[in-house]
Amino acid sequence: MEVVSSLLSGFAIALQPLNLVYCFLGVLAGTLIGVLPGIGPVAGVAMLIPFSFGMSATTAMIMMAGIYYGAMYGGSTTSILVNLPGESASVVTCLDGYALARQGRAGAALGMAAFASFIAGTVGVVGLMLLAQPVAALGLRFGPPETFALTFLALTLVTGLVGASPAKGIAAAAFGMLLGMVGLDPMSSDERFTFGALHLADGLSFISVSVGLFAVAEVLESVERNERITLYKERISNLLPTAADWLASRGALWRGTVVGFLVGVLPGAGATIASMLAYALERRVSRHPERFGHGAIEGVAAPEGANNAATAGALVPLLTLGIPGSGTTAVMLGALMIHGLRPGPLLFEQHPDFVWGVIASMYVGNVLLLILNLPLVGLWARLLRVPQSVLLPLIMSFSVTGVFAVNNSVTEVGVMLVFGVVGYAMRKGGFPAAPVVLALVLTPLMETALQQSLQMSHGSFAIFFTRPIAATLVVVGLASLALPAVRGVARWLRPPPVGTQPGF
Amino acid sequence: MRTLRRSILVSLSLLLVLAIPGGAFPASFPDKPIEFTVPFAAGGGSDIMARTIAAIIEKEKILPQPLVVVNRPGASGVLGYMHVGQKTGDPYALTTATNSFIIQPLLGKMKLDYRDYTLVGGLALDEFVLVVPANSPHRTVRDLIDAARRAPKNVKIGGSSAPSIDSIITYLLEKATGVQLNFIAFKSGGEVMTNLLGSHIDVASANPGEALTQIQAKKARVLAAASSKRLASLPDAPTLRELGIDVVVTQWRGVAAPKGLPKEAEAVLVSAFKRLSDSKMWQEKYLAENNLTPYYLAPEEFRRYLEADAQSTRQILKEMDLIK
Repeated sequence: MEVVSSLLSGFAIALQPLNLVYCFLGVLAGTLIGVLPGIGPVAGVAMLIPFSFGMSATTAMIMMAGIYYGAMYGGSTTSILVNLPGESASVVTCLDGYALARQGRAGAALGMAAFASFIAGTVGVVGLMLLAQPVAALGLRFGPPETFALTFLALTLVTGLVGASPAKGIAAAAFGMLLGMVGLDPMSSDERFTFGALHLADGLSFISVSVGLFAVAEVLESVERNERITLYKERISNLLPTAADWLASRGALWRGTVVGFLVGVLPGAGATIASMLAYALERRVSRHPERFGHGAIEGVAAPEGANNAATAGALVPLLTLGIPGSGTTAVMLGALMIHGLRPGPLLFEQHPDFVWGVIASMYVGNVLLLILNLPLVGLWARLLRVPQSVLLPLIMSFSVTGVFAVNNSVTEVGVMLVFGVVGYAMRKGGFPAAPVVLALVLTPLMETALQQSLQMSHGSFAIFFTRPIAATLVVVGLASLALPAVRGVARWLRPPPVGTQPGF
Repeated sequence: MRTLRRSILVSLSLLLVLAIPGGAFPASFPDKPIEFTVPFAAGGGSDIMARTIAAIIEKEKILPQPLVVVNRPGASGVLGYMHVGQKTGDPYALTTATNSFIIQPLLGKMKLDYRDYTLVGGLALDEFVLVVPANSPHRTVRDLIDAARRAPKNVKIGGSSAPSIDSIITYLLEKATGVQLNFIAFKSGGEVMTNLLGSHIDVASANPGEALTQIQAKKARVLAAASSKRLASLPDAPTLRELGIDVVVTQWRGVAAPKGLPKEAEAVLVSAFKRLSDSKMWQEKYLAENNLTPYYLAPEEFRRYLEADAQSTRQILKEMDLIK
């Protein structure tokens, strides 16, 4: 009951006109930042810090949190419409979202993204409210060996994203791992694969590579296809998800929410990895995995739910421990300190008004976002009626602007263009792009954790098997790698006579 | 005739090109926004400082034009430092500077060094403390050192990245006490703290600002400070020097601009940052809240400070076998 009264007093704060206005401004700015590739929530929040100086810490935090989860709503828009990931956490949304758009179902995909974000975002706030302390304690048990084990598991699931040819999929993942190793070695700072280029020392930017592989490659292929785009055959009749869509997505929604929230809590993992894991998990548990990549609505629901739940999860370590677990929450921490509020383990006790005001505002903000985004669905979907001769140059200029904004660097644009050509060649050769970007984002995290773990254990790999959480994750990962191989070998050894398969 | 006209045109345009960065109208500096580069990602210590500076300069009307903060992260700060350093004579380009401004050129990873910049001013010092989890068996630095002596390379000490100021502290600690520790590098101070609270490492070197709330909440204990005198925010923590371990390490923060600035513009910038460091907002909102020590240095003092820092850092990096 204490929670209820705390929450009610939180609502009293969140619903004050001034806070309501800044909550709305925050989610609006977040949506726009999400739509624009390149400018992520980190930069978005950082840019607005100076504007928050006149506000109280609570109002400032309400606005900053709004930007953060608002960006997760907006990120899916361009992914679905034109295969251009607006946010790194929305890259996997491209896979099925864009396929749906090409089938004339952009409205359903955008609508499902908005509803999934709303449901998972709201449930995520419930989690933040009720489970913050135990979940934070669980998060602390993730040291380097556990982080390595988690990324290892994620990588084995990524191989499950592979389409027709497993060999090509594994090759693509290996290519992605190689790209992920470009730059300074995480422990020794030695340069690797940089060819003396200063810009490569910091590694390849995930957003430049994925915009190249997805959007630019798609533009190149569209030019070649020169098709009359038939994205809007059925008028605007199916603007929202159908009952069948909801039925297909109901499992994906809660699995995406749980995965997103838990991964969001872990330091360094964040919304991007949450969305990938949720997508990979959905494909693994699906009875029709072959539908993924060809317009499965649950392939939109799972990652879009996960990345929103992850933002609530990422606030857990900030509010319970005062330690930021992601880039965006680090910026928030900095801003709060300027406001004279220093989040720490005692925040809930010492500043209940602040904590509960912010939590309540997140319920309000998610409702505002749904109201804001649903009418936009029709507007965005109509965008696809723009003739291709106009749309393709628009996509290109949008990509260039967004990628330039990552580091204010022309080199990033070059990287994007190179990977546009690489992506085009990969499509021609039948290599999937998704494993490349997923491996690219996982590798630095995995490699750092591996090196840290081995440094802790003086080089012994036993550290991954003597710690219960790490051991469980590694074994599950190994099993998921071995399973298709074992099945394949079994099939090869004795082709089963139809109908006589014993029940194992 | 044509060649003459062309040569006049060329020399005129050359003159123009030379005249503009040379400060054709120095009296009006700054007459457009100044780009303030942060060579690290948004949210880090340098970023927070730059955005606070930009806000104070605008609020207190220290300069008639705003500072626009731009993050150019990469290669441990080298990308951002080089971006500004290459703009010889341009007073509209500033960068934040901290220890990597000295360490990276020494490691040979950066072609320019502090002597190739106009130093605008030193602003603050950040200190380091050694913290352990609340349930740690180590009550004092002595306990920790004894444990390391019993089992060399078994006491895990966490810090941010390497080679860095944190790995230098570990090295100095090892050198002063004759034991061997196991340094584990993390991506950020935040990660160091979560790994400390989860007891994945035995001890961490952290800025007081990173550790203070954990200490107040009794989730972590401070063993000692690596400062020259006791910290105001943690008066009970002895300095390493008091304990007979001669290790003093500080992280400095300042501002630099390209070399060859027009004299007037340089003077405007220097006095602007002096006024900034005198402002109440800077001292109360930034320094006190972030547990930084005020440490204003005028350009010439700042140069001498960096000279000494470069000398001692070179010596340490040599001993660590990172440079010849």
